[in-house]
Amino acid sequence: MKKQLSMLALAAAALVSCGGSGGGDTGSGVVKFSIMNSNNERPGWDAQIEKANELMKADGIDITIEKEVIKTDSWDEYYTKVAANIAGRTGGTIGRIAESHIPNMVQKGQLQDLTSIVDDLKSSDKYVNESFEGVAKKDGKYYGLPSGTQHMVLYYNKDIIDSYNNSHSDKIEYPSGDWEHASTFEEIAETAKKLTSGEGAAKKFGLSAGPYLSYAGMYSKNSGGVNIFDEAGQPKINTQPFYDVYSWFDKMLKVDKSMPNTSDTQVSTAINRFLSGNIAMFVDGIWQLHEIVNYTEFNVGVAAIPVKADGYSSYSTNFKDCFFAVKTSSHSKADQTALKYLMKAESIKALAEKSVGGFPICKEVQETYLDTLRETKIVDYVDVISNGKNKTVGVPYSTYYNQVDQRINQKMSTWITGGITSNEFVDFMQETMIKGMEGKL
Amino acid sequence: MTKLTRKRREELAGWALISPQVLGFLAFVAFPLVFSIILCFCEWNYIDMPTPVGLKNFERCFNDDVFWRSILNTLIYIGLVVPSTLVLSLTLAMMTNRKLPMKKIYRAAFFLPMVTSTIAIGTVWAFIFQTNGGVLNTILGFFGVNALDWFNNEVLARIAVAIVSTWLKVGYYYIIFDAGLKNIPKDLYEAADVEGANWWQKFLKITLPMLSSVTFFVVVMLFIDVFNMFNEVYIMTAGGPNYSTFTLSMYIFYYAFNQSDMGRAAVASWVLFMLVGIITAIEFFVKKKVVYE
Amino acid sequence: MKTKLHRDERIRVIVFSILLVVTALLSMFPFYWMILNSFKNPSIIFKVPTDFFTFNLTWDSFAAVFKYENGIIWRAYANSLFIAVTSTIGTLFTSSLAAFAFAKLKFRGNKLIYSIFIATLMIPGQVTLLPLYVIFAKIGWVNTFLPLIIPGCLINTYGVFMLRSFIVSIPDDLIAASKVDGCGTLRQYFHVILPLCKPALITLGLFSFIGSWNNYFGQFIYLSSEDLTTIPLLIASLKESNMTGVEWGRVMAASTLSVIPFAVVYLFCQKYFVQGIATTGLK
Repeated sequence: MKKQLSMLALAAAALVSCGGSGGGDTGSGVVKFSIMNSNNERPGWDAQIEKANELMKADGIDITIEKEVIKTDSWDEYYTKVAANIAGRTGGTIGRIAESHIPNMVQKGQLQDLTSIVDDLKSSDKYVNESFEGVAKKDGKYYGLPSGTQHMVLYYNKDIIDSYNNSHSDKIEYPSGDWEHASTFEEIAETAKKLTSGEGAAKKFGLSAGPYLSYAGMYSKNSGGVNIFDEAGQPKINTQPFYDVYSWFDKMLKVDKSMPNTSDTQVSTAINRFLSGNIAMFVDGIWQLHEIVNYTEFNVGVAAIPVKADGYSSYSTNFKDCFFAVKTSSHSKADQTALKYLMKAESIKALAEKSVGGFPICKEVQETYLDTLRETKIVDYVDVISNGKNKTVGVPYSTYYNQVDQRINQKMSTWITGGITSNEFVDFMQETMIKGMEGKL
Repeated sequence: MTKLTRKRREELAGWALISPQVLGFLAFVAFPLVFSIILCFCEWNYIDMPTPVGLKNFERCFNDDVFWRSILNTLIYIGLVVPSTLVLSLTLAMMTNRKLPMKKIYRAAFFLPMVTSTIAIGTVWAFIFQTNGGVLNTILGFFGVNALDWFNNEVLARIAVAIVSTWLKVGYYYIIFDAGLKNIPKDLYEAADVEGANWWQKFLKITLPMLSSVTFFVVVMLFIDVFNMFNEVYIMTAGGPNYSTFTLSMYIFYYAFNQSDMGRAAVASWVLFMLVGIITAIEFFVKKKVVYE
Repeated sequence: MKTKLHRDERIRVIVFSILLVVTALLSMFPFYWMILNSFKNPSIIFKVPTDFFTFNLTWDSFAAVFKYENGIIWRAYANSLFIAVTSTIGTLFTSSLAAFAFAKLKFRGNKLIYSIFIATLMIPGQVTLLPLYVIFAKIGWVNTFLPLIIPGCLINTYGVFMLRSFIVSIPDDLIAASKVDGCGTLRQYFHVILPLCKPALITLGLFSFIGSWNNYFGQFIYLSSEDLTTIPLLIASLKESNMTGVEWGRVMAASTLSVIPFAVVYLFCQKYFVQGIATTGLK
């Protein structure tokens, strides 16, 4: 009985203490900002929010942005929570979300129209105006503000290549950082094969590159193809460039076994394996830079995305995660003011100084971002990273894209385990995309 | 006090005692249920009133391969998990139904999985089933079995999930069977021994018939349990590979929360509800024929 | 004849004991693995070949969990405990009342309402999740503990079902005797039914405590504030996108900490527990 009583007392204490601070009710001056729980990026977002608050205070505006951390590391679960907040008219009224979720939110009318903010920013001539275009725009209206642009690069572990060269007569060259003369698929496959060694969980892989739909466009462009859709808006995945790209993956995954498959990276992820020196080359976004410069003990190089053959320019897929404000907010004016201040050059600078958030879309801050990178071990590759943003392809996200993507990812293991050929897999991607377009998924 | 008023009083008392639960039922079950029927015929963006779309949600569900696949998977799980749990828990109960040292320890060991968080322990299992360096493959390696690709192979992935699911459930049903066995009068077996019946005959003629009503309960509960299987799949395989472990409850969750497509999720949940209903009805029908009372 | 039977039984005890020990060890293995990995030096969690035993144990992972976000784990424990205790007490009270009425009182609609209740056992939780969310949002309960407590208190069909099975098996004579003594219905409930139901109540209590403690999705959907964090939410937030050995160690340590309360409670209530579940299937 005593035990139960003390339990109750403890519980009551918990209730009382949360009653004071935890209420879901936002005062008129507080704007809640939904943010994902990724601890290594948080200092960046914290700095940006803090700066925006400072600026508003200085301007005599009585608005405070408070972050509301959503405790998940997956954008899907994050969206679940955002959608629940929208339905319940609670929680963060502004936030940041992956580009892939924007079309659905726009189509469902869950977002505030931010066109006036975008128009102001665009006319100020301080921002990269093209970055506002894309999936957050619908019928001439803008529903999201890019929090930065991120693109793909090829990271490599210089130490692994050096030590190979020390012990072998056939030398390996570092992958090329020239986006007009990138390394070819064949060269990379060859290097990957040489750098693969060991067995089981101790195996060191030559290359990790996700054969996902969202990256397929860039590889296709690098082989002379289209970014999923042709000019008429029809999916053109069942074309030679895609077949080429996927047979390249096929060879590395199934024949050379120089690339980890999904089960190899299930518990210890690809980035984790790269960081611990078990993957020699790693194609991923510049959002990983923060981890890579801080958590690796080896020398890192950065190169362009491989191409089919010399003569093809190298493209990189870019991603623009967006700030948004939800339609169900009771204080949309305050939301939009908060967003405006988050987009101020000073606020974006605070973020860039922590090298989080990718390339700033504010022109004057871009150098700040690059400068922070110049202070790290990848100082020699800052230009490679910077040049990568000149030839990018966006992911053609749409209301049906996520479903198509999920179905293709589910099918991937059938291909990787040999159930279907890479050509059949590409055909499946095409079919699924068509089904998605026709609303048959 | 007359007999009539006592009756009335009992009537009132009965209603008073069940009223909190009835209230909860109306608010937290009946109302959401009606809401979800309406949603079957609507599209809803969570903000405005749902807009009627006729049978569109049904069409989209019924024309979707993945929907049928998830029903098939759910049925496959029924086929895997129900018999394995049933046989395992009954066998364990029969083994411990005698004077035996350490009986309490066994019981605790079988039951502990039930009291743990699936979210936490599912992660541990994913760790165990890891292809490279996972404990299970390491152990199989001692016996010369090559590393099995548990989560990349459709059959193995289903088996992995079924193993974990069985592991989670056995303890509970073990205790029910254990109690059922204790209730069988010992003299029945003694009489059979005198007649020289062998173990199998005793099992068929005494144990099974005497346990039939317990078994019936176990089967009904197990079916419901497996139909609603979600956590272990969500944590371990996320439905993959190639939707081979995707269950109907995952389908519902995916469309309701990941795609904000409540209409479609509502249709799928009603299909699930109907399936459970039909199967339970069949079970009751069979019960009348088989169960010894 | 008798000695042969006796010998057979001894052989059986030995064979079964071996089988049972093996099964029990297999059943416990994931726990062993979880605990082992929470004590392992995080840097060797992914080491190959896998170590089945490690003597080089460290508290690092636990220390990391306790230090995480300025010791938020204590708050998470308090919150989880509060939600679980209140909803369990509520559930036990209302479902035992209803179970008593369904089992022993004669009133119109008894059978019908009970069958409707039982039918709801079949309703998948996902069906009602979102509509419920909208209701709670409308009445301003989101980001409070109420949506995680009140429904549990007011509706628990499994609980009613389980307790009813138990109460049905209480002989009518006992109740009739108390009636003769002039007990009203409520006094019968408190003085006769509740004491006799102790095993079933403890069992249901533990079940509903576990269900509430482990209700990750509910807590994820309803709770947002840092102050309201719970143990499952804490475990989820210990995972980050790049799961290194360090994070695995922390997650395993937190999972271990989350399981320990139940293991202890279970071991202490084992006796009641078995009685409680056992009657469920019999009637």
